[in-house]
Amino acid sequence: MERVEREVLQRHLERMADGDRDAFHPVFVRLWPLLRGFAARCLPREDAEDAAQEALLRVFARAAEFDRQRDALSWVLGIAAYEIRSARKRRQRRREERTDALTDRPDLSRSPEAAAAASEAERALAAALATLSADDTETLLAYARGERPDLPAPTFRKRVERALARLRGAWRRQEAEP
Amino acid sequence: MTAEMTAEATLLARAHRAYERGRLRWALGRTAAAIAVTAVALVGCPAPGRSALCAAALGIVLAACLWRGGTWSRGARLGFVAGLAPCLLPAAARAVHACCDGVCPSPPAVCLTAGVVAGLLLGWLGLRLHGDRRLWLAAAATATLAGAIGCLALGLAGVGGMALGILAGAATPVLVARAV
Repeated sequence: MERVEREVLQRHLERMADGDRDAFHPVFVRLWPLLRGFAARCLPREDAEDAAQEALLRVFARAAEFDRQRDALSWVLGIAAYEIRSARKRRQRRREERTDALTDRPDLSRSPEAAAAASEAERALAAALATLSADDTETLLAYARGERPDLPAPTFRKRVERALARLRGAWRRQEAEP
Repeated sequence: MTAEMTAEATLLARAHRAYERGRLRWALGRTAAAIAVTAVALVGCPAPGRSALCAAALGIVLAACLWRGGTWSRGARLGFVAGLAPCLLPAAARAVHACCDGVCPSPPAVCLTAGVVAGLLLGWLGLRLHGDRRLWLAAAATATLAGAIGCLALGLAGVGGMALGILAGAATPVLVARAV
Protein backbone atom coordinates (compact mmCIF):
# COMPACT_ATOMS: atom_id res chain seq x y z
CA MET A 1 0.00 0.00 0.00
CA GLU A 2 1.35 3.41 -0.96
CA ARG A 3 2.07 6.10 1.61
CA VAL A 4 -0.83 8.30 0.50
CA GLU A 5 -3.27 5.37 0.64
CA ARG A 6 -1.93 4.50 4.06
CA GLU A 7 -2.53 8.01 5.34
CA VAL A 8 -6.06 8.00 3.92
CA LEU A 9 -6.76 4.71 5.71
CA GLN A 10 -5.36 6.19 8.92
CA ARG A 11 -7.66 9.21 8.66
CA HIS A 12 -10.73 7.13 7.87
CA LEU A 13 -10.10 4.69 10.71
CA GLU A 14 -9.67 7.59 13.11
CA ARG A 15 -13.02 8.96 11.95
CA MET A 16 -14.64 5.55 12.41
CA ALA A 17 -13.21 5.28 15.92
CA ASP A 18 -14.81 8.66 16.60
CA GLY A 19 -18.18 7.32 15.42
CA ASP A 20 -18.30 8.89 11.96
CA ARG A 21 -20.41 6.43 9.93
CA ASP A 22 -19.54 8.19 6.66
CA ALA A 23 -16.04 6.73 6.90
CA PHE A 24 -17.41 3.18 6.93
CA HIS A 25 -17.67 2.60 3.18
CA PRO A 26 -14.25 4.05 2.24
CA VAL A 27 -12.62 1.84 4.89
CA PHE A 28 -14.51 -1.23 3.62
CA VAL A 29 -13.51 -0.55 0.01
CA ARG A 30 -9.83 -0.21 0.98
CA LEU A 31 -9.61 -3.07 3.46
CA TRP A 32 -11.48 -5.88 1.73
CA PRO A 33 -9.09 -6.32 -1.24
CA LEU A 34 -6.10 -5.77 1.04
CA LEU A 35 -7.15 -8.44 3.54
CA ARG A 36 -8.17 -10.82 0.77
CA GLY A 37 -4.74 -10.53 -0.82
CA PHE A 38 -2.96 -10.84 2.52
CA ALA A 39 -4.88 -14.00 3.46
CA ALA A 40 -4.40 -15.50 -0.02
CA ARG A 41 -0.62 -15.20 0.38
CA CYS A 42 -0.67 -17.05 3.70
CA LEU A 43 -3.40 -19.67 3.29
CA PRO A 44 -4.79 -22.05 0.65
CA ARG A 45 -7.62 -20.56 -1.40
CA GLU A 46 -10.47 -22.44 0.35
CA ASP A 47 -9.44 -21.06 3.76
CA ALA A 48 -8.17 -17.64 2.64
CA GLU A 49 -11.59 -16.19 1.84
CA ASP A 50 -13.04 -17.21 5.23
CA ALA A 51 -10.03 -15.91 7.14
CA ALA A 52 -10.15 -12.59 5.25
CA GLN A 53 -13.86 -12.21 6.06
CA GLU A 54 -13.28 -13.01 9.73
CA ALA A 55 -10.43 -10.50 9.85
CA LEU A 56 -12.53 -7.80 8.17
CA LEU A 57 -15.44 -8.31 10.60
CA ARG A 58 -13.02 -8.27 13.53
CA VAL A 59 -11.48 -5.00 12.34
CA PHE A 60 -14.91 -3.36 12.12
CA ALA A 61 -16.02 -4.80 15.47
CA ARG A 62 -12.93 -3.30 17.11
CA ALA A 63 -12.88 -0.03 15.17
CA ALA A 64 -14.21 1.89 18.20
CA GLU A 65 -11.12 0.83 20.16
CA PHE A 66 -8.66 2.02 17.52
CA ASP A 67 -6.03 4.24 19.10
CA ARG A 68 -5.16 7.18 16.82
CA GLN A 69 -1.53 7.06 18.05
CA ARG A 70 -1.12 3.72 16.31
CA ASP A 71 -0.50 3.06 12.64
CA ALA A 72 -3.80 1.95 11.07
CA LEU A 73 -2.29 -0.47 8.55
CA SER A 74 -0.17 -2.25 11.18
CA TRP A 75 -3.18 -2.50 13.46
CA VAL A 76 -5.34 -4.01 10.69
CA LEU A 77 -2.64 -6.45 9.58
CA GLY A 78 -2.06 -7.48 13.21
CA ILE A 79 -5.71 -8.49 13.50
CA ALA A 80 -5.55 -10.26 10.12
CA ALA A 81 -2.41 -12.15 11.13
CA TYR A 82 -4.16 -13.40 14.26
CA GLU A 83 -7.13 -14.62 12.20
CA ILE A 84 -4.79 -16.32 9.73
CA ARG A 85 -3.00 -18.10 12.58
CA SER A 86 -6.37 -19.28 13.92
CA ALA A 87 -7.37 -20.52 10.44
CA ARG A 88 -4.08 -22.42 10.15
CA LYS A 89 -4.64 -24.07 13.52
CA ARG A 90 -8.18 -25.05 12.52
CA ARG A 91 -6.84 -26.51 9.28
CA GLN A 92 -4.15 -28.46 11.13
CA ARG A 93 -6.73 -29.83 13.57
CA ARG A 94 -9.02 -30.90 10.69
CA ARG A 95 -6.11 -32.69 9.06
CA GLU A 96 -5.25 -34.51 12.31
CA GLU A 97 -8.85 -35.59 12.78
CA ARG A 98 -8.98 -36.89 9.20
CA THR A 99 -5.76 -38.86 9.74
CA ASP A 100 -7.13 -40.32 12.98
CA ALA A 101 -10.32 -41.38 11.21
CA LEU A 102 -8.31 -43.11 8.47
CA THR A 103 -6.10 -45.04 10.88
CA ASP A 104 -9.14 -46.18 12.89
CA ARG A 105 -10.74 -47.79 9.80
CA PRO A 106 -10.37 -51.64 9.86
CA ASP A 107 -8.48 -53.23 6.98
CA LEU A 108 -10.85 -55.78 5.44
CA SER A 109 -8.50 -57.01 2.72
CA ARG A 110 -5.90 -58.78 4.83
CA SER A 111 -4.13 -61.89 3.63
CA PRO A 112 -3.88 -64.95 6.00
CA GLU A 113 -0.19 -64.12 6.59
CA ALA A 114 -1.02 -60.50 7.40
CA ALA A 115 -3.88 -61.67 9.65
CA ALA A 116 -1.49 -64.00 11.52
CA ALA A 117 1.07 -61.21 11.88
CA ALA A 118 -1.65 -58.87 13.11
CA SER A 119 -2.86 -61.42 15.62
CA GLU A 120 0.72 -61.83 16.87
CA ALA A 121 1.04 -58.08 17.11
CA GLU A 122 -2.25 -57.88 19.02
CA ARG A 123 -0.98 -60.45 21.53
CA ALA A 124 2.25 -58.47 21.96
CA LEU A 125 0.25 -55.30 22.35
CA ALA A 126 -1.97 -56.87 25.00
CA ALA A 127 1.14 -58.02 26.89
CA ALA A 128 2.69 -54.55 26.65
CA LEU A 129 -0.57 -52.97 27.77
CA ALA A 130 -0.63 -55.25 30.80
CA THR A 131 2.65 -53.74 32.00
CA LEU A 132 1.21 -50.21 31.96
CA SER A 133 -0.47 -48.52 34.92
CA ALA A 134 -4.27 -48.56 35.15
CA ASP A 135 -4.41 -44.83 34.36
CA ASP A 136 -2.32 -45.24 31.19
CA THR A 137 -4.41 -48.19 30.02
CA GLU A 138 -7.63 -46.32 30.64
CA THR A 139 -6.31 -43.27 28.74
CA LEU A 140 -5.28 -45.38 25.74
CA LEU A 141 -8.56 -47.29 25.68
CA ALA A 142 -10.54 -44.03 25.78
CA TYR A 143 -8.35 -42.68 22.96
CA ALA A 144 -8.87 -45.86 20.88
CA ARG A 145 -12.64 -45.64 21.36
CA GLY A 146 -12.56 -42.01 20.26
CA GLU A 147 -13.80 -40.86 23.65
CA ARG A 148 -12.43 -38.07 25.77
CA PRO A 149 -12.77 -38.13 29.56
CA ASP A 150 -13.89 -35.00 31.37
CA LEU A 151 -10.55 -33.26 30.74
CA PRO A 152 -9.37 -30.30 28.67
CA ALA A 153 -8.30 -31.45 25.18
CA PRO A 154 -4.61 -30.45 25.54
CA THR A 155 -4.33 -32.28 28.90
CA PHE A 156 -5.85 -35.41 27.42
CA ARG A 157 -3.59 -35.17 24.37
CA LYS A 158 -0.51 -34.96 26.63
CA ARG A 159 -1.67 -37.94 28.67
CA VAL A 160 -2.16 -39.94 25.48
CA GLU A 161 1.31 -38.99 24.26
CA ARG A 162 2.88 -40.02 27.56
CA ALA A 163 0.93 -43.29 27.69
CA LEU A 164 1.92 -44.09 24.09
CA ALA A 165 5.58 -43.39 24.88
CA ARG A 166 5.42 -45.81 27.83
CA LEU A 167 3.64 -48.40 25.65
CA ARG A 168 6.35 -48.13 23.01
CA GLY A 169 8.98 -48.59 25.72
CA ALA A 170 7.22 -51.67 27.08
CA TRP A 171 6.88 -53.10 23.55
CA ARG A 172 10.58 -52.61 22.84
CA ARG A 173 11.55 -54.24 26.11
CA GLN A 174 9.38 -57.28 25.26
CA GLU A 175 10.93 -57.57 21.80
CA ALA A 176 14.40 -57.37 23.31
CA GLU A 177 13.62 -60.23 25.70
CA PRO A 178 14.63 -63.69 24.37
CA MET B 1 -26.00 -8.59 -10.13
CA THR B 2 -23.26 -11.25 -10.08
CA ALA B 3 -22.79 -13.75 -7.26
CA GLU B 4 -19.60 -11.99 -6.20
CA MET B 5 -21.40 -8.64 -5.93
CA THR B 6 -24.14 -10.24 -3.82
CA ALA B 7 -21.55 -11.84 -1.56
CA GLU B 8 -19.81 -8.49 -1.18
CA ALA B 9 -23.09 -6.73 -0.36
CA THR B 10 -23.80 -9.37 2.30
CA LEU B 11 -20.32 -8.93 3.71
CA LEU B 12 -20.80 -5.15 3.76
CA ALA B 13 -24.02 -5.57 5.75
CA ARG B 14 -22.32 -7.98 8.16
CA ALA B 15 -19.40 -5.58 8.59
CA HIS B 16 -21.87 -2.79 9.34
CA ARG B 17 -23.57 -4.86 12.02
CA ALA B 18 -20.18 -5.87 13.47
CA TYR B 19 -19.18 -2.21 13.65
CA GLU B 20 -22.38 -1.14 15.43
CA ARG B 21 -22.20 -4.08 17.85
CA GLY B 22 -18.54 -3.31 18.56
CA ARG B 23 -19.34 0.36 19.21
CA LEU B 24 -22.19 -0.59 21.54
CA ARG B 25 -19.98 -3.03 23.47
CA TRP B 26 -17.27 -0.38 23.75
CA ALA B 27 -19.80 2.27 24.89
CA LEU B 28 -21.32 -0.06 27.48
CA GLY B 29 -17.88 -0.91 28.88
CA ARG B 30 -17.01 2.74 29.35
CA THR B 31 -20.44 3.51 30.77
CA ALA B 32 -20.07 0.72 33.32
CA ALA B 33 -16.73 2.17 34.44
CA ALA B 34 -18.27 5.66 34.71
CA ILE B 35 -21.24 4.40 36.74
CA ALA B 36 -18.84 2.54 39.05
CA VAL B 37 -17.11 5.88 39.77
CA THR B 38 -20.39 7.66 40.51
CA ALA B 39 -21.44 4.79 42.80
CA VAL B 40 -18.99 6.24 45.35
CA ALA B 41 -21.51 9.07 45.81
CA LEU B 42 -24.05 6.56 47.12
CA VAL B 43 -21.81 5.53 50.03
CA GLY B 44 -23.46 6.73 53.23
CA CYS B 45 -26.29 8.28 51.24
CA PRO B 46 -29.44 8.53 53.43
CA ALA B 47 -31.87 7.93 50.50
CA PRO B 48 -30.06 6.09 47.70
CA GLY B 49 -33.21 5.16 45.74
CA ARG B 50 -33.62 8.39 43.77
CA SER B 51 -29.87 8.74 43.26
CA ALA B 52 -29.75 5.21 41.88
CA LEU B 53 -32.49 6.17 39.42
CA CYS B 54 -30.37 9.14 38.33
CA ALA B 55 -27.38 6.81 37.93
CA ALA B 56 -29.48 4.56 35.68
CA ALA B 57 -30.59 7.55 33.59
CA LEU B 58 -26.98 8.75 33.37
CA GLY B 59 -25.98 5.27 32.21
CA ILE B 60 -28.53 5.34 29.40
CA VAL B 61 -27.61 8.86 28.24
CA LEU B 62 -23.88 8.20 28.46
CA ALA B 63 -24.10 4.86 26.60
CA ALA B 64 -26.27 6.39 23.86
CA CYS B 65 -23.94 9.37 23.37
CA LEU B 66 -20.77 7.26 23.37
CA TRP B 67 -22.32 4.79 20.92
CA ARG B 68 -23.42 7.62 18.61
CA GLY B 69 -19.91 9.09 18.71
CA GLY B 70 -18.60 12.38 17.35
CA THR B 71 -19.81 15.57 19.00
CA TRP B 72 -22.32 13.69 21.18
CA SER B 73 -19.56 11.52 22.59
CA ARG B 74 -17.23 14.46 23.26
CA GLY B 75 -20.04 16.37 24.94
CA ALA B 76 -21.02 13.43 27.15
CA ARG B 77 -17.41 12.89 28.25
CA LEU B 78 -16.99 16.56 29.04
CA GLY B 79 -20.27 16.66 30.96
CA PHE B 80 -19.38 13.56 32.93
CA VAL B 81 -15.99 14.95 34.00
CA ALA B 82 -17.58 18.25 35.00
CA GLY B 83 -20.47 16.51 36.76
CA LEU B 84 -18.11 14.53 38.98
CA ALA B 85 -17.67 17.57 41.22
CA PRO B 86 -21.33 17.86 42.34
CA CYS B 87 -21.59 14.07 42.25
CA LEU B 88 -18.77 13.37 44.69
CA LEU B 89 -18.42 16.58 46.72
CA PRO B 90 -21.57 16.10 48.87
CA ALA B 91 -20.47 12.54 49.71
CA ALA B 92 -16.98 13.83 50.58
CA ALA B 93 -18.48 16.59 52.77
CA ARG B 94 -20.62 13.97 54.54
CA ALA B 95 -17.63 11.70 55.05
CA VAL B 96 -15.27 14.32 56.52
CA HIS B 97 -17.95 16.43 58.30
CA ALA B 98 -16.47 19.59 56.81
CA CYS B 99 -17.30 22.20 59.43
CA CYS B 100 -15.56 25.45 60.30
CA ASP B 101 -15.73 26.90 63.86
CA GLY B 102 -18.72 24.68 64.59
CA VAL B 103 -20.59 25.97 61.55
CA CYS B 104 -21.33 23.28 58.97
CA PRO B 105 -22.13 24.25 55.38
CA SER B 106 -25.76 23.67 54.44
CA PRO B 107 -26.31 20.90 51.88
CA PRO B 108 -27.60 23.31 49.18
CA ALA B 109 -24.47 25.44 49.67
CA VAL B 110 -22.25 22.39 49.09
CA CYS B 111 -24.17 21.59 45.92
CA LEU B 112 -24.12 25.21 44.77
CA THR B 113 -20.33 25.36 45.16
CA ALA B 114 -19.88 22.00 43.41
CA GLY B 115 -22.24 23.18 40.66
CA VAL B 116 -20.18 26.33 40.12
CA VAL B 117 -17.01 24.21 39.82
CA ALA B 118 -18.79 21.92 37.32
CA GLY B 119 -20.14 24.88 35.37
CA LEU B 120 -16.74 26.56 35.16
CA LEU B 121 -15.19 23.31 33.91
CA LEU B 122 -18.02 22.86 31.43
CA GLY B 123 -17.75 26.39 30.07
CA TRP B 124 -13.97 26.49 29.93
CA LEU B 125 -13.46 23.04 28.36
CA GLY B 126 -16.54 23.35 26.13
CA LEU B 127 -15.20 26.52 24.54
CA ARG B 128 -11.87 24.82 23.82
CA LEU B 129 -13.68 21.98 22.02
CA HIS B 130 -15.46 24.42 19.67
CA GLY B 131 -18.59 22.27 19.72
CA ASP B 132 -22.07 22.99 18.43
CA ARG B 133 -25.43 22.67 20.19
CA ARG B 134 -25.15 18.87 20.32
CA LEU B 135 -21.99 19.12 22.41
CA TRP B 136 -23.59 21.52 24.89
CA LEU B 137 -26.79 19.46 25.06
CA ALA B 138 -24.93 16.19 25.76
CA ALA B 139 -22.59 17.92 28.22
CA ALA B 140 -25.42 19.62 30.10
CA ALA B 141 -27.48 16.41 30.31
CA THR B 142 -24.63 14.25 31.60
CA ALA B 143 -23.31 16.91 33.99
CA THR B 144 -26.79 17.45 35.47
CA LEU B 145 -27.50 13.73 35.83
CA ALA B 146 -24.06 12.98 37.31
CA GLY B 147 -24.40 15.90 39.70
CA ALA B 148 -27.94 14.87 40.65
CA ILE B 149 -26.62 11.49 41.86
CA GLY B 150 -24.75 13.33 44.61
CA CYS B 151 -27.11 16.24 45.24
CA LEU B 152 -30.50 14.52 45.04
CA ALA B 153 -29.74 12.80 48.34
CA LEU B 154 -29.80 16.30 49.90
CA GLY B 155 -33.28 16.99 48.58
CA LEU B 156 -34.63 19.20 45.83
CA ALA B 157 -32.83 22.20 47.33
CA GLY B 158 -29.56 20.37 46.66
CA VAL B 159 -30.44 19.76 43.02
CA GLY B 160 -31.68 23.33 42.61
CA GLY B 161 -28.46 24.70 44.08
CA MET B 162 -26.41 22.51 41.83
CA ALA B 163 -28.36 23.53 38.70
CA LEU B 164 -27.99 27.19 39.59
CA GLY B 165 -24.27 26.69 40.19
CA ILE B 166 -23.77 24.91 36.85
CA LEU B 167 -25.61 27.67 34.99
CA ALA B 168 -23.68 30.46 36.69
CA GLY B 169 -20.34 28.64 36.33
CA ALA B 170 -20.82 27.77 32.67
CA ALA B 171 -22.07 31.21 31.75
CA THR B 172 -18.98 32.94 33.15
CA PRO B 173 -16.33 31.65 30.70
CA VAL B 174 -18.79 31.92 27.80
CA LEU B 175 -19.59 35.56 28.59
CA VAL B 176 -15.90 36.36 29.13
CA ALA B 177 -15.01 34.77 25.79
CA ARG B 178 -17.69 36.81 24.01
CA ALA B 179 -16.58 40.03 25.67
CA VAL B 180 -12.91 39.55 24.71
